[in-house]
Amino acid sequence: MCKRSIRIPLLLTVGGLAFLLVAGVLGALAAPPAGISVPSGDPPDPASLLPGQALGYVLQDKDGVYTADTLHELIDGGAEVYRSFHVRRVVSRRYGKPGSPDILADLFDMGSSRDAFGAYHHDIRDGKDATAGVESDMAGSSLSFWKDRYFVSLVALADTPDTRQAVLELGREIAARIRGTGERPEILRLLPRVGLQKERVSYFHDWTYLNTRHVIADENLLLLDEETEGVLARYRDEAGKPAQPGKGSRPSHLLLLVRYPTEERAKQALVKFLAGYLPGADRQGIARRKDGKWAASQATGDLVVVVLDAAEKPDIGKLVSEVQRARSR
Amino acid sequence: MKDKSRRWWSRRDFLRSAATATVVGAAGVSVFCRDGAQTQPAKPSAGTALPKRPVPDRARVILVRDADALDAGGKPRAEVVARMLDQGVAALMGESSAEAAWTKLVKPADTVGIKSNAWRFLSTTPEIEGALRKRVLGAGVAEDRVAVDDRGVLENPVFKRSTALINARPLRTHHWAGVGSCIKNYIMFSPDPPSWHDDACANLAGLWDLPAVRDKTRLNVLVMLTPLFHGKGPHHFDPRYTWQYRGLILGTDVVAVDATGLRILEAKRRDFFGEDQPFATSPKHIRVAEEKFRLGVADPARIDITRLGPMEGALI
Repeated sequence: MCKRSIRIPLLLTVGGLAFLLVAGVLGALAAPPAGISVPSGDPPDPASLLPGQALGYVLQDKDGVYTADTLHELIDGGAEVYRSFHVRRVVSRRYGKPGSPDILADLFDMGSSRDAFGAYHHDIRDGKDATAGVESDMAGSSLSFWKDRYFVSLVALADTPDTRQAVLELGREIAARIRGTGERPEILRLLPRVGLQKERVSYFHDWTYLNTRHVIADENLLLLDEETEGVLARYRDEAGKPAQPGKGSRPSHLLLLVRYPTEERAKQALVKFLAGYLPGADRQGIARRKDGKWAASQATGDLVVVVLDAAEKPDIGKLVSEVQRARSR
Repeated sequence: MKDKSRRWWSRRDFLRSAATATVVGAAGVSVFCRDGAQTQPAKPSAGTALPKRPVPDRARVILVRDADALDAGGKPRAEVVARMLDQGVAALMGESSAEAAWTKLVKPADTVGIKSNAWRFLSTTPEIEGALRKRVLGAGVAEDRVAVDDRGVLENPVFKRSTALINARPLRTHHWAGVGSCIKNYIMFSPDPPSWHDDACANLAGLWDLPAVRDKTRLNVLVMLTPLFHGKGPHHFDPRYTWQYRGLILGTDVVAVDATGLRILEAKRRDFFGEDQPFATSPKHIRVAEEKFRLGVADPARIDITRLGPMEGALI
């Protein structure tokens, strides 16, 4: 009996180590290269990511569950933003505590980390980092963050020290329950660093959304659709001014990168954009517009690079080279 | 006006953004316009005849405030807000009592829909809804011909056969419209609300020509108990950007009601930010409501305000 009782744990230990070794090797082989977005796989029930209680706040009503088609019932104006980022499902939960203001928690399953990033960055983010999720924004008793494929919003209906603590606690608990991390959209890596105003970067998929960020034209001149992704970034000039445009002043330029499924699609988009937005462009794709600002566009591989609102004639060739270098890294 | 970018969301950029929204409109860009726009027969578009109704020279609104409107927790005191409504309606209708005033607003034969607003963060409030319902019943309307609703108005049997509407909602900043107020409150009468978001929601007054709505509104109540004066996105609410105004604005001219609320919100933003702080999206739909749709008076110079209650901090 005694020998047996020793052997079984020993066998389990050896077997367990062997299993861990094999699993580790297989895991290492299956691990994606650094920088590649990790798909989340089958998502858990979103409601399971919301805790039942925290700091005396407990679940009040039945959860609200919304899809892309019903999200307007939750958000009074603006559901289109989340639809443009392919929102899958939203769970909304109300927490309450006697004598304290309620806290509302909304968890958006955006389907991918890049769209969670996009949804999060649609709003002004001028609060403090709350170390919840990949990026977070805490202002008073409102906390937003994104992690993996989820964008999360927590709001207390009144701002007190107690609600701030409870919102923070709930937010961190939700973030801990989200097992994946998720990557920022890879296209952001291609943005040249010099002069980039990191807080002024918008990620998008479709033309109407892009037009809410910067009005270009009614017609979809860049042939944006479900298969494209883009980033619009604001740059200060190389002398470092102006970092924040004041009244009536302008940023030094905007840079727009759009990635297409094929090089052919990128070329088609460039032709359409030059014809529709820069009809007088030179051979490099540079033109001065009626408002006196310069704009330019070129294609490189499956990307279209666009400079908008430049105060001076842009060196589009240099920018394209920088994008290419970033891509090869 | 020079900058066409929208919502880059730094505080300083807000200085430029009202002009921005105007440029969006001028550029004719459809912002998040969905295909449902084509299913909106009453939605103004090229070729649709606009109403030719005359705009009155002047309009009148009632601003009622009461220091006791909210309890220590910031929740409405039912009996106080009911009293405020009574005072406001009586003054609006030129009657000495609320009962007499309400008999001018609704008749026993009416079927009355009370259009509220159910936004979770800032709703019309059950206290206001209850007080309105009580007065409609008191005017002799049968209980089965009165309903309070927001998002279900298109399916609500009372609203479907309504002959009169009472419109009540809180004032707040709004992601697409600049401000959410009484004109915008009828968006749920549209089968495709997002289709009204084009051009900073400029054409919201067109909602008031939908068959379910047209010429039915007897009273507008802009709830100013704790208005929201700043927002950072479509899903944003921060209680620090509300304040206890403890007021109501009442009127039969919805444009005048909204224009008055807008002035107060603008004043609060000036007060809070220390300088003129244009809305992230221009609330131009209020001006357009007069200029294009001739729905009422938007020009503050042509709006008479009757003030009831304490006016300290009224901002107008």
